[in-house]
Amino acid sequence: MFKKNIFAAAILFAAVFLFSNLANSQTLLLLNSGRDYCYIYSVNQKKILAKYKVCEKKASCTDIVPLKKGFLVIPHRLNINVDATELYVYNSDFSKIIKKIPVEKSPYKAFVFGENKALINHTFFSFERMKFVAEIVNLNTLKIEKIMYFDGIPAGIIKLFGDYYAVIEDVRGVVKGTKLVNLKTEEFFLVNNPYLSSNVVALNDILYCAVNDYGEKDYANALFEIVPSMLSKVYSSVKKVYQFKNPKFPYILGLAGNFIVIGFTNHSIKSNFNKICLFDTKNKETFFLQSCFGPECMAVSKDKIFVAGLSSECITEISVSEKKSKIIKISDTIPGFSSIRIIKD
Amino acid sequence: MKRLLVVLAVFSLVMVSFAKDIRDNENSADFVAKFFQLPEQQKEEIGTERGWVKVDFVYATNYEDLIPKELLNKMPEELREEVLNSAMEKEAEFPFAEFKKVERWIPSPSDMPFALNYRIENKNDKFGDGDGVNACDFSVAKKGDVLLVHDGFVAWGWHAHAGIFYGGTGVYATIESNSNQSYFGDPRPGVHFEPISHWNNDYDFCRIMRVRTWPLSTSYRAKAAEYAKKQLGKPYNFNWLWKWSTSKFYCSQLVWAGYYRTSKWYARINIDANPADTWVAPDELYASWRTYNVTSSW
Repeated sequence: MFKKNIFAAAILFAAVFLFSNLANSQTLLLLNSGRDYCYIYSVNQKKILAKYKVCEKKASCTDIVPLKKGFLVIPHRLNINVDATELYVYNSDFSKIIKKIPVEKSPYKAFVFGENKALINHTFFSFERMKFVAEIVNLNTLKIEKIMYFDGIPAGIIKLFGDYYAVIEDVRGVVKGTKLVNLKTEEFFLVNNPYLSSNVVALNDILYCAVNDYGEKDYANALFEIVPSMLSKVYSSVKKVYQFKNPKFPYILGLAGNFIVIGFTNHSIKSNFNKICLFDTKNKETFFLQSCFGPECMAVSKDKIFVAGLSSECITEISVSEKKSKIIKISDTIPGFSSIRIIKD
Repeated sequence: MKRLLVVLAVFSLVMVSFAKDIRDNENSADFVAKFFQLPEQQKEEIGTERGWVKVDFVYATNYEDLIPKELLNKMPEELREEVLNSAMEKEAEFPFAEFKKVERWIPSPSDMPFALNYRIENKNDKFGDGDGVNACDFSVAKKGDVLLVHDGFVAWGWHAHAGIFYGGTGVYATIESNSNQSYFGDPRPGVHFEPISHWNNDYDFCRIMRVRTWPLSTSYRAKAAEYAKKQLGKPYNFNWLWKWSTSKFYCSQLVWAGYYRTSKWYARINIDANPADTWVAPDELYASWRTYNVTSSW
């Protein structure tokens, strides 16, 4: 009887352990664009669950978005001097292309927004009739919902006054500032300050912009707060909220609650930085944490932030509540990751 | 009846020219595929007859020979020493005898679109392991720096492609002019921005070179990058034999023009190692006395 009880308790314990493990099993998708493969990484188990080749050596895959079933792969080029013109929907083990979605030439990054949408940007080769093309893909139906034409290349998506806006990087120098284009109505706001960058996020309808070391003297290596003027639809009230001294090259990776997550990166594989700053927008406090070299992109999962490093295959796990970071080295392979996504929260 | 005849004549004319276009394209594709398999002497005969040009550093036996003697004499002593040292550095890194041996052909404008993708796949050498990735340190790059890459042997030399570093506050920090096989006849650019990751993730080897602007100030480096930015959106120049065009640009022409066109007429910054001819290949930017290595992924 006693033995039976022990056996039952052991089974119960194992079941609870397994269940809790499964319930908390955060899984990440890490894309190594240079090496043309991706990892499925389990945070709890601290191991790579799978490694999938995403394109041929001479091709280039620049982003991947996990879907409910499978993955949306953004191939940039198919061969040297041959641009991709389709997005691929792969099944869950990358063994089969389920669907091809025709898009404009040279798709580059996918900015996921709302419940189930992504804006696909393109490099310069989508330039047509003096405009840059981008498509909105519905991630449920896997169909193009809308084709949009911008003055520059979309560099991100922000939520402003309840709507989603594309942040347009003025790559041709025609806007003399940064344009924020409403993805629904196509109305726009203009940040009419050419010294600011397109590295912009929005929190409570206030914009925050980081300018790297290449900026003008009074703007370089600083974080700015830009308050809107609804009447004129022009953002011109610019205030410097933080001047970074060491390291340089601040780059806003994204938002986590009230915090702006700023990585320091020159986007170079070598001689990059290994620091991250959490900027509290409520009380303007800053928290500097150690990270992998070359923090390039991030993903938020509950209280945790995962930042992928470009300098080698490494991720940084940050606990927002504790303001602590943990470096998880995956391998010494160079270059590291250019995209990180949460597959399972 | 007359109208019908005119329509028929126009139709047949269009069809004949269309057929000729297709035939020419087929010929070009076939020719390019066969050309590189030919023995050396035949290559010279057939290539020259078809309007291809062999690029050679005829009068030079070392990198120092590429420095104009009259300029060398005029240089301040410090600079002269620096220029001669960098010639020695190039010699140590890539001996001129080896560099000279590299086969360099500039195809005729009509064959160019079909030659652009020609290369020997998986060619391993000391500069690259054929994995299409390099770790060139872009943190040291400055506005106006020349970017050169190698990715297996290409028709026009050892360096396959060139670009210019712009920097700036956005993601897109470099400017290049690239063609695309499927762009043939397509008016789209040409000259465009690329992120740094393009240079690291798409080639076996990458180097960053800086330009000596003497006797002009170093501010001409930034001016060259701004010139390249002003050309954004212009189409690719398939006529590699004509570097003087300002309405179309090929990769090394864009970088060369950035320096040449912005400098003063009395002190041209000419980064073409063979300045007398009408073309400029990426290898000629490397061999020029005006460029020196800042860093490379090797």
